Amino acid sequence: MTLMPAAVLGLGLWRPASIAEMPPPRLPPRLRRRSSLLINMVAEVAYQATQEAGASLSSIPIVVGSAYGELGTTMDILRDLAGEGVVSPTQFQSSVHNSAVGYLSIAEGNRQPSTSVAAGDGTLAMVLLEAFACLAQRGGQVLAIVADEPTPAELRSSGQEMPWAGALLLEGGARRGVAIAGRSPLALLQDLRALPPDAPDRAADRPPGEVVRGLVEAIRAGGPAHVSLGGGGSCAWSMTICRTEGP
Amino acid sequence: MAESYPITAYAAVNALGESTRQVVENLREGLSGLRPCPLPVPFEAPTGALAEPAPRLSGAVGRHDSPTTRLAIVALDEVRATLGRALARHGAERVALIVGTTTAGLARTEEAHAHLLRTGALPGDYDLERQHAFGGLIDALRIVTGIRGPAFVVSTACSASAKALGSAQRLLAAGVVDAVLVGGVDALSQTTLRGFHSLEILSPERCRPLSHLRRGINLGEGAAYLLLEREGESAVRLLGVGESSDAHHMSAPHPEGIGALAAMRGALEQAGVSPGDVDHVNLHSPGTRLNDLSEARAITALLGADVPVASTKGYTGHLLGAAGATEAIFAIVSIEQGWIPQSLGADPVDPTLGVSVSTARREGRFRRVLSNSFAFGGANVSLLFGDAP
Repeated sequence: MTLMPAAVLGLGLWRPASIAEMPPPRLPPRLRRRSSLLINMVAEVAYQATQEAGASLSSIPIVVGSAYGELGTTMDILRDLAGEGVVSPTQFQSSVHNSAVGYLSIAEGNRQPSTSVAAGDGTLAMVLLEAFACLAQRGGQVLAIVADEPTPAELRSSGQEMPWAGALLLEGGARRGVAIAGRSPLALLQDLRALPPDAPDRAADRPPGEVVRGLVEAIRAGGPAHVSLGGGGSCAWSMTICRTEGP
Repeated sequence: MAESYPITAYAAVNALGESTRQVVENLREGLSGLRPCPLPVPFEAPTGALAEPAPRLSGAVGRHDSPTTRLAIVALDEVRATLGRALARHGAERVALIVGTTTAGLARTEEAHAHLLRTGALPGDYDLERQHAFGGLIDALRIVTGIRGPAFVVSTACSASAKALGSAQRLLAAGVVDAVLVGGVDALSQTTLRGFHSLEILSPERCRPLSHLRRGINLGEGAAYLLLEREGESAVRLLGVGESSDAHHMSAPHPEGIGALAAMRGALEQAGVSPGDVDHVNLHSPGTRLNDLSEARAITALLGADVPVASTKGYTGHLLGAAGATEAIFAIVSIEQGWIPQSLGADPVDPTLGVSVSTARREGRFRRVLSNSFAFGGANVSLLFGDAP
């Protein structure tokens, strides 16, 4: 990998203690009426990360990652299909994977080239890869967000996972010891790489929400640290967190 | 100016044919692939369904079986040899896989959920991770192709596989990989058929994009692949990708076409190509008036009224996540073979659009071709292809 390091300017994390806990309302009322848990979680961490950095969400490209996308809305549609067979138009247009990034762009008038990706357990790593590649191509800032709703009881074979979301506001062209636009970044992220198949800590057994929490906490601690980003099989990924100042 | 990349192999499977050659031949002859809907729905809905359904998966990917993944694997056949050489040349870790899809295994989950309601249990072989989730599609394709580099799905609704080409270009430009297999795939599903019907934009007859007789869209299914490499021989290269967001509405395009305009302008600027040098545009135009007006405004504002434009949705139906990659191939074929397709169903053209619709096949030299894809959530992308210098 030859990607340049990126500075972390702000962080967001949503990891409720119980499944009943809802993220605070962040979207304008006209959009909130129809917004899913996933959309609300993405909005919550997006505003956390941009507000920490004093940045405006209206002009930053956004990369959203979610392994399952709009699962809750999909389940509602499946129940409607089983009933009258009529799909609600509002639910249908909000069932696409890029609903969260669409709602955020509409709420903020954000016309930047944003995107929405998925890669199972490798979703966090691939969101960061896409975000780093965007920074390499266009410079400036990118807001990288990952989130997933709990898998629905009807369809899951394993235990209940809590909903979760995380966000990193990244800026490209970073070098150690250099403040960006007068702000001192929280840390530098670099060296995104696939782990060798025999690497010890592959984070493969940790739930993705815990992997994201671990990454956010390690960045808060400022590094230096080497963190696993999850992903099973031959696609486990890691990244290095560096201090922004000193050796 | 951005680096351009050769497209060393491509393949498409859809209602027009089960091989790329057949698909392109039928496109050239102006023959529609639209046929009656194979899924039970309580309304008239011609669809671009495959003539023969793709076979069920077995063996190493048997547990990943879903209608979408079946299509994705069937369409791999024609790129396999070139991909194999790329894997050997660059190393499997230096080849990425990026696939655009909207539904992934949704059609499989629809069946499984109906089974659950009927019998009280999910089918014994149902697997949410492998069959429904986007990661299951990626895993199946990694198993079948041997690709070991970065691998992910782009899911921005109807622009997904065109956006996947943008992501591929970025990975190549950043030096992360030396080749990217870009795919696009979607199968027909009850959710998409009934969802578009509820939005009142599903046409009860064959769709007629760009015609004032249009009554909406038809859905299709299919898969397409393009292999992009850092270096290699190809007649056509990806010159530029422009992406934008409408920030307007979840399911309606911006009426002035500002997002469409920004995407096309972005692709041209990235490639250093001036608007006057664009020879043809494969439109997004799925068959709704709103889309046509919005896209036509953007075309006339940026490229003028004379550039020949066409929609190919009348051949394949709207392939959703597979549309961008499929129509990218149509754009490449126009440059390679020197013809642009008849915009099927467009005649008589809506006179309010003010664009030059190709109502018959045109032969000629087409050196720079744009392909547009727009989507729910306002996720726009425009791809610029050109002949090799």
